[in-house]
Amino acid sequence: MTGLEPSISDEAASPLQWHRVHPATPLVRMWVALVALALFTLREVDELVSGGYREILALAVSWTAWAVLVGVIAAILTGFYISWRCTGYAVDDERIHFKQGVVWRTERTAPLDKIETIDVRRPLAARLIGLSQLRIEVAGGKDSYLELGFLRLADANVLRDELLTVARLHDRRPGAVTTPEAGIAAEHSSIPVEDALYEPSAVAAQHVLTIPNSRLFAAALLSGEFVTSVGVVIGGVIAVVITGSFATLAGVAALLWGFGGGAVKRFTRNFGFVVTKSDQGLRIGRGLFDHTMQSVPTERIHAIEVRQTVLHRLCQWWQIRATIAGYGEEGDETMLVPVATSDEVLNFLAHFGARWTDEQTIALLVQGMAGDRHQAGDAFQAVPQRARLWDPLGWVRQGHWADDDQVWLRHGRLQRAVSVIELAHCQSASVVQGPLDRKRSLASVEFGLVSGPVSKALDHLDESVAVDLAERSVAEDRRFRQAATAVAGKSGQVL
Amino acid sequence: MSQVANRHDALDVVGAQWQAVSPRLVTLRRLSLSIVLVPAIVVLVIVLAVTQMWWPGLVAAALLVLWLLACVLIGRQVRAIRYARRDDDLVIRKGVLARRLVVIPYGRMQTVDVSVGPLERRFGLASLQFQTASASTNATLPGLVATEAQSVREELVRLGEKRMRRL
Repeated sequence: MTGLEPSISDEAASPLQWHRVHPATPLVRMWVALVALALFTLREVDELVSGGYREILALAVSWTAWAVLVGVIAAILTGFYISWRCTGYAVDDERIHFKQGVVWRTERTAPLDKIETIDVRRPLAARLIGLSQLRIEVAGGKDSYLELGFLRLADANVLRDELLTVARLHDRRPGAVTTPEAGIAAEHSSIPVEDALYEPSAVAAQHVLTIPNSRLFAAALLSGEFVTSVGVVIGGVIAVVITGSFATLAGVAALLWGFGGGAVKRFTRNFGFVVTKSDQGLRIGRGLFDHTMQSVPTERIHAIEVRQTVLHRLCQWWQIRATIAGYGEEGDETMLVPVATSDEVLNFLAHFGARWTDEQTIALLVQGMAGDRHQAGDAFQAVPQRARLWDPLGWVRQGHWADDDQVWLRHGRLQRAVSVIELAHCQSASVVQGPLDRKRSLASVEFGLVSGPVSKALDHLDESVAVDLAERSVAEDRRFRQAATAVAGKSGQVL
Repeated sequence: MSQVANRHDALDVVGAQWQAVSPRLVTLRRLSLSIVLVPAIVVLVIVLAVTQMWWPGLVAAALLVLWLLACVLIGRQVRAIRYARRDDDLVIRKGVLARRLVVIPYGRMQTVDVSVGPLERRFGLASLQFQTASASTNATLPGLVATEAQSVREELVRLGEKRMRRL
């Protein structure tokens, strides 16, 4: 079941009100091709006139040359105009539609109630003329998104706010409720979708976190990519000195391009990193050239992981990654915080809801990030002593903590990490016991999350503890439905 | 469908009435293995007889041992496949050496597919495939009697629709 479906255009049944995108859209989409065309033309002209001054003059006064030029420009502009006329979007009660293309027409629709996150993206060319694009992620596979553009930045922001508001309301409808609490709230809030559209959007955003660019720069220097690049350069120099030939430099350049480029990207993509919070969730802005403003409703986050690379351990820096339906494994979007101090991490997570501000959770987080089994008052349930043989290094940190709504997994000795899984978003659970584990009555547990960067498994637990953890995810599902049924029973609805 | 006695077992879960899959799956799996291995062994033996070289005989012997071993293991493997329909979820167990237990709430199942291969059709068997939004726990339950597979599928889809929940 994917979120996106090819829509059957039966406009007679429900006439959609199509809105146009910004007229410069084809230009922004095609600018690379245009520049290529211009360069190509210039080169041809250049070759033509290499004869000298006379030919340039002849060309400049020749009617044909001007006619061709005007003709080509007119053709391009007409093409752009037609393409623009065929591009449009529409929003009805249930869905958002986006159509595009002249000869090969495509129309994508996305159900509003399946919207996960919305990014306002500004690729460099669009940014220069103040345009932006909406990327709407929908629950489903990797390709389930809808890219709508280009619009003026202000228009894009308004549309984004409207869509997020509607998506939230859909979330609260009985039958599509996210949590029992939300279901109960649905009884009392009876704002029709249409009214919500015209509500003043987004309450004043609250500042959460700014990451100084100097630190982003330092973090890029302390990245695996940069250290590898330095290694490559040193290796290259040594090779040249030993062999006395510069032949190896080509290989060095290629490697440098790959690794050094990775380090540079790390910096440019996260440049100007700012997080704010509104009633619609987190808003994350970043990017030196291509700018992105992500909107992530906190209840759409399935799991987070606070982790620390070995190199960042030198500076006590942490990063936070999130598993969110639609974003997938490796994208930059999954990086909620690229580099922060532990205080900033605590402050950031305090915006995730009430439970993240209570002392117990904060203590848990601190123990999850830096603690181990030998610390006094460690709240994590460590893996049994007999697991030591199978994991002599990580064994000290391996552990979990669980309540009715969340499971915390702590792991990693050198590369420390703690992940927090929201059981409300857990799709299934499994326990695996290999022959080695079985000898020592151990087992691994894995939580079924949508694809994402957060680690969701813990190895070498006591076998009965592993089964118990797996059952927790299901118990949450059972409780959720009992609560939902109770709500439905009270209001006389069938769920 | 016979019920398997619940002996003490670490990967057991509360409230599970374990059901075994059809023993015909053993024959099916042994057959599909033999289809590949037996002709290979025969060819090697012929080569041995014709050329009098030593190595085809050695390979043939190794394959023969492998085949017999696999046939024994397949029996254990199939007997280790069990499933249980609990009130809110489906539980599947598999594996002899590496054992695996998967719990999928009905409301999280996005699709339930019945698939029948050519050999399976001969044996009157079918497999059920479950998909959730999480790729890591997509499970397959082989060796169900075809009619049983259909009815289990319909039951699961019905239960799933009633409980379907947002991601």
